[in-house]
Amino acid sequence: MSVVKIQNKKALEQLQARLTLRLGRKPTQIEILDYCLILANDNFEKLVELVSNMPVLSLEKSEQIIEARNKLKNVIYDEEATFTCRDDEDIYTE
Amino acid sequence: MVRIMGVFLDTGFYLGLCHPKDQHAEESEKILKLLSGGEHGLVYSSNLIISEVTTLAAVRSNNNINVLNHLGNLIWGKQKIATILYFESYLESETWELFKKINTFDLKDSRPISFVDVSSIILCQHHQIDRIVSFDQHFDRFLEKIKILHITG
Repeated sequence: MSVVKIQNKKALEQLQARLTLRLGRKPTQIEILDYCLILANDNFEKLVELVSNMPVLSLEKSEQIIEARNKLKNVIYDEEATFTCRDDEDIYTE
Repeated sequence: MVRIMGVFLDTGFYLGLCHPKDQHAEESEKILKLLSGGEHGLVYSSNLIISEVTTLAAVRSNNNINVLNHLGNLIWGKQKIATILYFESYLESETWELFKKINTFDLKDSRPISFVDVSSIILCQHHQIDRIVSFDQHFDRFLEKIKILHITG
């Protein structure tokens, strides 16, 4: 068996404590890590996002974005709004 | 060369996600859902696009804090949609040369393409991104545009 060092051991212990309370028995840390691997495989895109720190779009996320945007419907939005500076006006308007 | 699937977001797309009354709101919503499927790969934009979209959102919303917070969330927050590529100094001369070529030769008698738009083309070339979400026709000859199908009748 190979040994893998865990940097955040405290988080694993806290997870173990929370699971113990819910299950009524104390699962081993190896058992917990095995289940974490199953979870990671089932949520692979989320894992990619965590590991790479790259944002990953999902349908759920896009619906949340649209919902948040649509809540702004009563806010003024003027596509003809002008800049006070002529140079900005030239740069930003078609 | 192996091409990495990826798509670049232009200013207009972000603005369409900023406010429901934006002229591209409906189209941006449909494209966002299309991109959520994942078949177009990872999503990118640039720090220069951020400069444009934040300024325009502030002007158009009359500096509304809710609009700006929503936009900030799309760019840097929990609902971040794209990896931001940085337009760095080593890309400047290449961008400048293309900017001059397009504007003085290809678009000689037309409205010029902006330096920011040319920087997007150069960034995409350097990161092997061959698609763009934009409502700007300037990109047509350089990058494949993702468009939604308009169903009529």
